[in-house]
Amino acid sequence: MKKQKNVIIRLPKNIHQEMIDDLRRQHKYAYERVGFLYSYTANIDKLTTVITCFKYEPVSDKNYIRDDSVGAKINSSAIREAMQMALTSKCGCFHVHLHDFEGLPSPSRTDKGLNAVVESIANVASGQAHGFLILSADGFYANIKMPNEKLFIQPTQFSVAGYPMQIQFAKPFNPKESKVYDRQSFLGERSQFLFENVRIGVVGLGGGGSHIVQQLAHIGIINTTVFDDDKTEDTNLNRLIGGWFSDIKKATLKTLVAKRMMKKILPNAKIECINDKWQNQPHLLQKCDIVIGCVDSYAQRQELEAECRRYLIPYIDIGMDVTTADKNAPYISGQVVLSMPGLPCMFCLGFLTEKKLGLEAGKYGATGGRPQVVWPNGVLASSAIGIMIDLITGWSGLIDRVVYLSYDGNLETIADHMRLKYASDKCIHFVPENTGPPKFKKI
Amino acid sequence: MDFPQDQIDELKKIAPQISISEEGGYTYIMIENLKLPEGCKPSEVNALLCPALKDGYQSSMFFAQKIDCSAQKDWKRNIRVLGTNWYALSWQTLSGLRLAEMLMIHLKPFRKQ
Repeated sequence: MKKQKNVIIRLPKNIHQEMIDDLRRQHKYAYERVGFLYSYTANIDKLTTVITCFKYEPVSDKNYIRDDSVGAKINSSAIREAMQMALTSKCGCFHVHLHDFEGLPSPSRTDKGLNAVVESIANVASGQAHGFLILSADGFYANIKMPNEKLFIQPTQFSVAGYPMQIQFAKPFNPKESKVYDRQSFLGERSQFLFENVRIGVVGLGGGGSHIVQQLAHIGIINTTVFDDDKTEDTNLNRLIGGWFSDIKKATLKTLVAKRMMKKILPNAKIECINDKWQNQPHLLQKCDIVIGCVDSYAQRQELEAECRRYLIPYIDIGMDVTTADKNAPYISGQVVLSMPGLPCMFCLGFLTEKKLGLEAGKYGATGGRPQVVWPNGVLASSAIGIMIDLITGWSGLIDRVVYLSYDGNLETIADHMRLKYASDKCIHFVPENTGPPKFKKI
Repeated sequence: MDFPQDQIDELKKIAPQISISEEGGYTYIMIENLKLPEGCKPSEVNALLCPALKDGYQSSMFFAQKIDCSAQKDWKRNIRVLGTNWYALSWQTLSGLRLAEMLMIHLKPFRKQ
């Protein structure tokens, strides 16, 4: 039997909001408004396609045709403009309109006629997915014509990258009775359903990552992809959650330590263990809905952030350090940073700088042997998990939060970093057009 | 980042197939089938020139694969950028060089001494 293809549509929250705001504007005579959403298609592997959206263009007022029998009718100029954009930018194009109510929208009889418009656009940019998209106040419907496929399909997932995220799966929400998660039911009616269906990537399974995966299992996150090419050594055991003394002798892979611990807590967890650098299997990272990085170097953080931005994946970074200056007591510090597509990146927030990267490169990235202890990693990992849960469920009601937390391990405090006050609200380093597979312009 | 046309033209005389792309605030020049100095294996390789300060280096040249040449090299600057894993030497250049000059200086360690 042919396996069903996973098609994930991802868009940043600012574009989603721009669409909703635009489509809600009243037109002089049309009952609805129409726009076009542009995207890039990435075939991550044989079974997964990620469509990343980067630009929305409203149909201008003059391009509507008066027709009382339908919500909105647009003329050929509007469609030609969309085709031109798809042709010149070699991008995908989605016809978008709004059914302005709460709940999942579904296509009307006239909406089904939009397939013909989609076919026309697909003719000029055949390597991309095209379709029509219906938004509601809190849901999505899409009909997609995939590259080189005749039939239209519906995506398996929509994901809006923002704080909080908006994640919708094609599979129906089935509330399950379980005592196990009773005490976390305040996270929302759909929370456990979301935890069972999202995929969380964890890069680095040492002091920070081992705390992270333990908590993922307790929460009930079923699908995880964990990356670490390292084996357990004697110097790890002071902070490797789930690590046993016997793992030192056996040189147990850290991915296996993580899996063993997670499966004991959550037997039905599906853990993809990658005993390799994520850079050698990037497609497995690109499929994740959220990535948590627990890596040692600034350069690794920079690469992880760049990959996540490209595929519109929220990236949560944690790290700790111990510094000693002269006769002063050692100082434990740390950070939790959320790099959200469309919002300031780690460079914008001042966490990554050329100076830090330069100093690190001068040592050829050597970071090993630095002091590390278990409890700061626990604080930082717990904070990262808290942010992840809020992103998925939105339980706190906080909106558009920019996260850069600073940890003082001597005073045992964690608070907003002072640099947050000076951060711009937009990212100047990762522009929307650079989402999806890299594009090169001949010069 | 825009590059002066005369510098692009100069670079194209050495490496005709060039294109640009951006990631994370850096602009990169992709050089397809860059001819390497005599004795290198392979003799041609795709390369990525970053003409601006990155990781403490005034300019950087990344190669799609490690290159064998007369002397052993330390490939210590491995990086993933623009969806590809690249390899580079720790090789510093001066600031303010023209693009073609940068390219030639980055190829210097691969020339026979």
